[in-house]
Amino acid sequence: MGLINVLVVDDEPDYLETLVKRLSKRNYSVRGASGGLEALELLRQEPADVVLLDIKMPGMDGMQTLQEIKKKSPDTRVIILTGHASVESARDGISLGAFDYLVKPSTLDEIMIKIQESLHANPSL
Amino acid sequence: MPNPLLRLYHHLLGGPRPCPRLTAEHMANLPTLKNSWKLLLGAQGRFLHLVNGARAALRDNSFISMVFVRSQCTSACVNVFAMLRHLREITGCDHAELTDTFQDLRKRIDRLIAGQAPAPIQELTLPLSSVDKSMSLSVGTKMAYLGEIKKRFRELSVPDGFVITSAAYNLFLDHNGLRDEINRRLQTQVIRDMADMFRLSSELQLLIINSPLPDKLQESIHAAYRELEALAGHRGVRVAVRSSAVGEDAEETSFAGQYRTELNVSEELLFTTYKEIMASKYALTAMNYRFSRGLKDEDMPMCVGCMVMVDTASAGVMYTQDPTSADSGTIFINAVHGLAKAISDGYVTPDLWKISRHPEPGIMHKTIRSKEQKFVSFLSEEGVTLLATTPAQRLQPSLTDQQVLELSRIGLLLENHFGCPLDVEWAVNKAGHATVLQSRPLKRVYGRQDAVQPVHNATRPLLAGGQMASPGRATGRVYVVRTNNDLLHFPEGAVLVTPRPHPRWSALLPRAVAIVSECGGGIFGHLANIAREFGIPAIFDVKDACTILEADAWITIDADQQVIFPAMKPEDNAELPPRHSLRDTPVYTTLAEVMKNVDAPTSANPLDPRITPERIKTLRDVAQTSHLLACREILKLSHVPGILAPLAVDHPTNWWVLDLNNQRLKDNRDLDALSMEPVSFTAHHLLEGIWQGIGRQQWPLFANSPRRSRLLRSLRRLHAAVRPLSPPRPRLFLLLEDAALLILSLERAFFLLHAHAGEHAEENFVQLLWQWFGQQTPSTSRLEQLAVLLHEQGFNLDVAPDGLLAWSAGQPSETTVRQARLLGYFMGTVQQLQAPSELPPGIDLKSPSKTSS
Repeated sequence: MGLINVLVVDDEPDYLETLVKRLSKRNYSVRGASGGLEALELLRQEPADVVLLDIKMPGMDGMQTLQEIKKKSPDTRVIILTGHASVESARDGISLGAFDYLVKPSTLDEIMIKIQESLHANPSL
Repeated sequence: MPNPLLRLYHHLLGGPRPCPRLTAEHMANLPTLKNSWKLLLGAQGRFLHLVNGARAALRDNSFISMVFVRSQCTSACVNVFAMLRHLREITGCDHAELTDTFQDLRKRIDRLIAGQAPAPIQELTLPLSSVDKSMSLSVGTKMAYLGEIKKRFRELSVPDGFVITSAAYNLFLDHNGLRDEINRRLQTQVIRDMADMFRLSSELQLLIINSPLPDKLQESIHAAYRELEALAGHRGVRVAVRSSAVGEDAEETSFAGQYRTELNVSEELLFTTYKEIMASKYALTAMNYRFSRGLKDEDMPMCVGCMVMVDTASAGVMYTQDPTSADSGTIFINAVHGLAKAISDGYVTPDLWKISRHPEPGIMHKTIRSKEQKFVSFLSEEGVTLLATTPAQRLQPSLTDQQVLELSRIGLLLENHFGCPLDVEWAVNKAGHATVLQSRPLKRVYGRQDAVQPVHNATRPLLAGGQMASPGRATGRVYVVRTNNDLLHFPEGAVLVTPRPHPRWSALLPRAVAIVSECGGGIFGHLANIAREFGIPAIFDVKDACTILEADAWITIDADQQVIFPAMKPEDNAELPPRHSLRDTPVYTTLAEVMKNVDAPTSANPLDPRITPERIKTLRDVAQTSHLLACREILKLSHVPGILAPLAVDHPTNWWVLDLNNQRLKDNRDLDALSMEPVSFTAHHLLEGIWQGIGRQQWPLFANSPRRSRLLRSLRRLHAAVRPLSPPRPRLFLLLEDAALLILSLERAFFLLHAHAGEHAEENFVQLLWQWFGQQTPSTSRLEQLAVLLHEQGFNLDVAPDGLLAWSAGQPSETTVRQARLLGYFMGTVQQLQAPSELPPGIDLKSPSKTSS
């Protein structure tokens, strides 16, 4: 098994950069996208095992992006990141097929544990 | 003011005479007077309402935050200030003494609610070696203790490091204007459930993380880091970045695991990590914890310690005494391979040693467990990695006996120095030497002595075994928490059942009645610490708890015996588990302290015989004095000849009405020719209410007590006349817009019933002053009897040496009228020899009736 392929989607450049940097140092193959469309384009080029998805972004928002991802590659695990956005929308996200959500800011530990959990979980969840 | 002698003279010669100059002046100012009076009443109503709210908070032990205390105090001061201003408008005097007293009180209250004094240390960073216990306000409790150990015990190993101080925290907040912004959000956000709490927590944390560090601070941290590299002798030192909040880890409030700690941090991410740790002040658990423990938010600046990473072989936690029993002869040591994070975060059930303290440390008992995972840190990575252990490693003891004894000796040394049992986190490096990583006072909670339960003898336990993490017994429904999503749906009063005692779950502790976890090391670990602090029973290391315990099933857990029984749903009237008490928490204490300057009147009538500083000690006194002075001024109007109208009622004695709403007073040209028609009691809603109360009573009025002798009677009337609040008629209603004032000036008692019932409930109030004189002081038992009666009806009651005040505030107009009616009835009651055992219908507020129409 090669490196786990993670895509982080977040419109806040600082947050995105820090998270990509941290995960890269932890033996993940990490890419970052600053918006929903960019994320879908990156996934089209190369699928990811796990997507960390900010729910509230300008342009194509997290919910739409989530639906698109699930439509095109149902096996991809999506973990929702939620910040200012409401926790309720994160719960809605779970009903749309996301694995779980994390409230920003989460520690690297929590994020990594969640990634591991999602990979061990039954994809049909 | 008329000369008392003159008044005396008037009085003896058949009734008072008006003072024409004074009254004409008053009549000319009537519109201003009425307006100021109205505003004064509104302010008094709001003030009483606030006092009532603060009292309720103290009495009910309800949720209070520092924000609440501060806003209540500010509003209370503002309203009393407004009363003083309107009093000055009414009387035209400056009332300097009263104003000065108020200013003193206000300053005293301000001091009490103000945050902590600025940190005495100005440095933004300090080397750990220069820190000691006396500096906890500047470097936080955790670093103060660690610095103290480093300074005092040269022979002990403590990592090198530096502290980013509270001065740095304050600089960061001020630089970004965050203080006000955070307070604003804390005040404006409505918290209804966990989801709201999540949102607020996330918002505040991101606010901090996304704000830049001031250049000065960046430079200071850089310089401190360079020094650390110099000490270590190589570049690229990795540090453990630990929170060290001021007020954290104090004995009563150990913030175990509430704040973030990041291990193995590189220089590149140091600033981000520093901000993340400051932000963790608003992490869900920490915020929840502060709220539920009544801790002051802004008294807790976040200091951060950066310490060189120890090349750890094994690590763990030592309790120098048993945290769950009073037995003080045993030291407990928990250890795992790798970093101690595996214990505090509950990943692994650790090895356990029990060591006797006397006469020399000696191992009494050891339990080696299978440790399937361990945390390690690599230089090439950021943070820590959870690795599976090899089968050979799993059952290998994480410490040698010699290391255990060495650690025990360190524990005793430190305990002796700090003078209390301690919780010490330590690491043993690859060379086998022990290093102290942190140390704090150990919070102890004792189990019950009567742990045997005959009730359950017949039932077979669902589960038995595991380790007690927090003593006690509780019954509730099972709720399994695995994900963050489960966190949101956790019901009040459920038993938290979880695969791992994650510190994050501590956010649930205010709502949970007990905890059962599949792994974790008993009394060690953050969640166990906090459970003990909240007094919530917990059993850890219960195999398969999440599968065996069915969701929603009622269970009883007995942590002392480590057994779990099936339970029946308790009856509704069953004894509820004791909830965490806010008493003795800092916010509660502050409010109680502030209230000493706000509430409880020193005397019921501070005007009688005259105002002295001893009679004005609280804001209530200032308010009451202002109120009475304003009444006195308004009452001067009653001396205008012909201004009083008789109350048209069938009653043995005459009652009078001064109706300032009367149209004829609006144009005050023919003052000399005033004569008023009798007034029906239905003319004013409050007059009607009060009269209905008075009319329901038999009135053996003291005023009509049998004449003993003409002289004696005259003397008594004389006495009544020189009292500071004496209108020309002893039974007088004064009506003004939505307010009514009843003055009942009797020989043996003085009553002033004042009610304000307008459209704004928060301005409404009703207050009865009953002042007694000398020999007429009611007996204690009678006062108690009356107090019970009034309390039952929802009134506040304050008893002072000279009289009592019964009051209520903040009710809608209709309720206020009914309360006024009850107080009218009460005035008659207190003159009876015996208080009635029950109130008649229509008076009793507890049984709503429609008789007020």
